[in-house]
Amino acid sequence: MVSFWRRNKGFIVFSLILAVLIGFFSHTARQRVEPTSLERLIIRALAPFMRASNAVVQHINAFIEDLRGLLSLRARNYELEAKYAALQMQMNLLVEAERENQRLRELLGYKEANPSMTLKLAKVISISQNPWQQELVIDQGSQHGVQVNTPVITHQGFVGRVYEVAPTSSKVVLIIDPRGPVAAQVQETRVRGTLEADPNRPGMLRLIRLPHDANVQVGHTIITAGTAALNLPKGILIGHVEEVAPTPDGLQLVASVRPVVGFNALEDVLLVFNTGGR
Amino acid sequence: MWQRNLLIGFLILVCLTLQTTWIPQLGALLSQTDLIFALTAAFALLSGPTEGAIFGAIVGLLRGILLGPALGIYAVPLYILGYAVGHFSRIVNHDSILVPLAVGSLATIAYWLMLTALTGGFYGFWISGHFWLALPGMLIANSFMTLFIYSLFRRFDKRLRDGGRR
Repeated sequence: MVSFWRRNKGFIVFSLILAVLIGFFSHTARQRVEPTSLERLIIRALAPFMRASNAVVQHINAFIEDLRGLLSLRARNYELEAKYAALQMQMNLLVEAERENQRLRELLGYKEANPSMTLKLAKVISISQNPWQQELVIDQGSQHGVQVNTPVITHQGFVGRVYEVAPTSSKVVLIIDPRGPVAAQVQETRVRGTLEADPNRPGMLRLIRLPHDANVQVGHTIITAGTAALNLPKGILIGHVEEVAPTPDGLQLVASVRPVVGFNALEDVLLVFNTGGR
Repeated sequence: MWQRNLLIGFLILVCLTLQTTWIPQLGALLSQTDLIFALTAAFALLSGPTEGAIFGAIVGLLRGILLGPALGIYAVPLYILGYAVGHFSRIVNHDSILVPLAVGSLATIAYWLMLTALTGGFYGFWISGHFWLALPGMLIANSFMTLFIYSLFRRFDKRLRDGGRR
């Protein structure tokens, strides 16, 4: 008996405890309404830890939720930025179309206001502006009837003249280029002179060969005088006088003229094919 | 020795609180983790049948007090599990990583078998398909958790031994 106990002591103890536990289980499973004092004590002892753990878990979950929200917010932000960029581009195109529309309306208005002139619209392909070369290229060439010296204007005023013609494009020398002097006159007093680029002030013009007693004042309007050789119509606005001064020898006057055309922003121009007797 | 007991007490406390607060809120696979089970299996694997069984009974009772419908519902299976795994630990190579993984997997099935038997839903549970859907997640989660806690215990024991030698 003793040897049996010794040999199986572990298993016997295990079985006894198991039986107690099963008994415990079956007893509490049937009749438990309220916990015992010992259970209450254990629950009370563990409750603070569980509360603390729960609080930590809640914080962690809230943090994870925030992180998820942040990530989704970032993705949404990317999406919205892409949409914004696309809309911005569309808006730019619309603004561009509106501006073009406005320009063409102005040019059309000029054309309608001058029915005696045969005008043709041309688009500016490129602009080359530096102190030695003030010219632009338009999308109309010999195929469209363009010839050397065809005047180029906008609804604002005189731009320049064609100096080189290709089948589908032409080069236009601007009035502010040293190569493009034209005959001009003061609208108010009809005084004539030669208008050329001012070598000392890029982008400005000067009216030279004015008699020393010529009636030219600041604010006077300068228009084309009409030159048959250049096929240049008469009376097209060029600019306004900003300054009048005598030449160093005192024999003549020189008027500084600011052109009315914004050469930097030219996009559409009109070619003058028939001056209509102007 | 008191350091080891302190660690065990701390781990029981952590596992009990996490099991009732954090684990249920985790995603599909991780919510199947049973920390108390893994703790018992790991402890029994390292300590042997007697300690394993006692440990299982204590943590099972504590869990029953906190969560269970009846006091011994977790104590009985964990007690048996601790005893069985403790015996198993005598015949295996403790250095193999596969041992805690295998113990975690096999003991999970045995554990659930006992639990469902004790709750009376033995046949319905198997037929309902719920068990089979949850089984892969349980096996993976419990196996790896057993491995993790077992490694933790071993490392701590080794550190204690090294400290004792010095």
